Amino acid sequence: MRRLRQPLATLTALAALLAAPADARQFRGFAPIAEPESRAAAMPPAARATTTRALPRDTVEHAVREVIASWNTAQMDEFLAAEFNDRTRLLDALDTRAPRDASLRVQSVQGIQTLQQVEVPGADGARGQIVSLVSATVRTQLEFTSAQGALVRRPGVNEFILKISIPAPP
Amino acid sequence: MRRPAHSRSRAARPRAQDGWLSGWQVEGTNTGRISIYDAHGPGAGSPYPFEGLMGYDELDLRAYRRESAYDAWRAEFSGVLNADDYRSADKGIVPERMSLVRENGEAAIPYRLELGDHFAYYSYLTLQRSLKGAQVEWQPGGSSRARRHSLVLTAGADEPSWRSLTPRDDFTTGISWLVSDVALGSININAVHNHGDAVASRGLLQRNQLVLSVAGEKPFTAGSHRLVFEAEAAALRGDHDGVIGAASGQDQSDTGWFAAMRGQALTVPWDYELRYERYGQDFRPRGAVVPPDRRTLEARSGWRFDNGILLRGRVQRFEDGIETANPTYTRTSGLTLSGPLLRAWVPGSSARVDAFVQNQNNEARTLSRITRSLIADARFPIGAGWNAHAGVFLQHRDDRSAGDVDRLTQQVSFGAGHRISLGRLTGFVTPGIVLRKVTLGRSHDVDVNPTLALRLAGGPHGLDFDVGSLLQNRSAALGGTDVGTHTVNMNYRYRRRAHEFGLEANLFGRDPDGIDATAAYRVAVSWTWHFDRPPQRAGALTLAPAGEAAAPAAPARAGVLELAPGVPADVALAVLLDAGAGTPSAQDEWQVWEFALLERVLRRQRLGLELAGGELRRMVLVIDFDDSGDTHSVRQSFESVRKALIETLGAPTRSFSEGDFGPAFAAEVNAQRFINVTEWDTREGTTIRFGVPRRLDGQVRMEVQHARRFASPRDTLWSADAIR
Repeated sequence: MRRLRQPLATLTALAALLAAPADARQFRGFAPIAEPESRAAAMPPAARATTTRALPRDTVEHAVREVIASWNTAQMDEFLAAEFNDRTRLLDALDTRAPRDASLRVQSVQGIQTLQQVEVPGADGARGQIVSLVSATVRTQLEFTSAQGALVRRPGVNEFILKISIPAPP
Repeated sequence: MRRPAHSRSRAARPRAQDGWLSGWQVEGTNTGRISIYDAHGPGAGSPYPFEGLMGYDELDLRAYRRESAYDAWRAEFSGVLNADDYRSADKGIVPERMSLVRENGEAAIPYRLELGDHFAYYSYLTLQRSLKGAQVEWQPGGSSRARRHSLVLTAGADEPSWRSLTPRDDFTTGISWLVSDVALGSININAVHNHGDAVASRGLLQRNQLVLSVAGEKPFTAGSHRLVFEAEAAALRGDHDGVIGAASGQDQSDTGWFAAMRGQALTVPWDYELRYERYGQDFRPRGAVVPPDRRTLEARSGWRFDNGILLRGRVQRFEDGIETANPTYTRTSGLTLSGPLLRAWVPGSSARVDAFVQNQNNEARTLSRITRSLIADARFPIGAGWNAHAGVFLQHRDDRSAGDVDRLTQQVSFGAGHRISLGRLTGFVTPGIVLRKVTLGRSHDVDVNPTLALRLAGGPHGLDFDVGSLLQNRSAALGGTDVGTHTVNMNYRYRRRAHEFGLEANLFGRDPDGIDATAAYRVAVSWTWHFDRPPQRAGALTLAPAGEAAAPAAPARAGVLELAPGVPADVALAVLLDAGAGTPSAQDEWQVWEFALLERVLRRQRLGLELAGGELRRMVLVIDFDDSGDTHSVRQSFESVRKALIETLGAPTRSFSEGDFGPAFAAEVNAQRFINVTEWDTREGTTIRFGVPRRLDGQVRMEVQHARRFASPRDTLWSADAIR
């Protein structure tokens, strides 16, 4: 068993479900169940079955806040997964339609849950990565100033699906 | 490993059973937080719609149980006892996520069973949503391991809360079959049914719908190109919420499909993608993520140059509302350059430039505009330890509708970061500024936004601090009002062992010209307890070395395991004497030998026995690093010892890892940012731990200890301090 907590986590937000992390397709992939060696197939080169260990709450909260802080900035492009549906259209809409002073405030991070987890071996002896797909329900508030100088608040509750990578244990 | 000649020992006393928790490993956090929100002046100008004293206690629990190496349970629970208007809309006990998962790879047909909260994902056109219910997946094996099958059954309700479950408002059942073949690719067949009761208050009629889809992906090679073809076709029959009124959604049928070809040249660094989508107006599966009534055609391509610069281009055409009387057309073309664009002038820099043109119009010509955008940002060192980032945002919207209100946005941003040290705290300071001018028709707004951020950490302390102002000059705008908004945010954390204390303060001030100002603040204190409990069922995964018979009344392992807590002192001393350990020296309550217990580990080793009450209380093997400043040597030493222990003791029962081997390894250990612990449970109910404990004298070394039990790995002061 592994219990993992790495504050130095890399984050790809809003991803589709992963089986092998390199998948960019629009339907589910194969998430292998660990079987005894006698009948286990060679795992896909990009991933192998692992015992899922849920990520700690503070790791997920930190990731959520990082993503939301990037909203309406150039950094958001780095956080949207390649397989996010209508990815470029969302980024274009933020650039062309969202007020430039608009920002998102995190009011609370509610339920979190680790959905899937795979271990991706490192190439050429490099340390591998534990890649987790995590769901977080977040209460946010969009804020900007209207043309008349009034503060506009738009609260909402959204579910974020995050892909969080942390170094595998040595 | 050197084995003492004499192997008799007395078994340790068994632990008391822990009842229903036996065999479960439990970890998690409990956080109590009290906050106060207040505002003076017009409440509409405050970011805090709710004021007053509030609080909550939040529990996040994760539990694991392993029946065998391939049969495991996993449970998650998160919930809150809530009296905070921001934390949750519900008060009192609010369970937020509850799930129980079992994965059994040893069953006749390996399966994964999920109960409670789970994420149901078949495809974008059929189902991708969180549900509360149950899902089971079977992965039948076959003689050909090059082909794998997955069959999923799902049933659940889309409900935001466990407190107000009304499954019949939105209940989904589905079945999905996936075949993945190494040579042929993947094929996925899905069927999803959704039911929704009538809701008079929202004007909704009862809805039942069935969606069927076939999806596939086929990789292949054509000449010197590696290609992947993907497509999905889906059909909906039944009801949806309606296009114009609920009745328009009753008894409908429609289709949706997409096809995409992705390719990559094998001889040059060139990739490309072509994609087409078409979704009917009544193609509205409840669980799908694709929009209805749309047609899309996209082409993208990218080229990576030898110097690392990446060039990407895109041409997109979107048609929304294609089955309405007034569809909207959006055509976008763009180019993006990223990578070391400025490296010839600024070594160590990276940059990105994104330029695109978007043409939007509808049939009625009420919408007609062309938007041209240029967005650039760069990161680069500027000397004296400063690292800067700069950005430019230029956008012109040419409005060609009857309204004819053009908009020009011009924005530049600049910030820089520098390491700082304040006593034992180290971190970064980052000042920045954003200047923006938005010209709308004949009026314009000018915004100035200076910021300063500070992040410090050291030992148990952590501090984040930022201050900023947004000065919005709108006096040139018709009816415009100047506004100044000022914020100060602070977040302090103190961590001691398994407890973390937090203090947060947020100050907000908003001063519109000619209108009363608003001042608001929020102060919160919190306490988080990190807890974990290892399983009490000993020996679940501990394997005796081949050829050794395990006597039920006594540990039969040679070497380290022989010297277990509870062994009589005279027996332990005799064991080491027989092994040729020599004469020990006394260090406080310890007897210490210079003794290489792990013969293949070529580093200084000292073995210590803590004796009390005539028996062995704890055994420790201290292994020095050659040079804790040499990252490679440290990592190699650590992994060689760990490997030697695995070869002797078998697969570990658990491990905990945080942080990494780095140039400041010793400092990381002493600051509790590096924790790496591996443990083996024995049949006798004792535990062997290997890791790098923190010490009060700052020494950094490896230790293998054998004790009855250990505290949480986060309680890092577990070294045998007396052995120096």
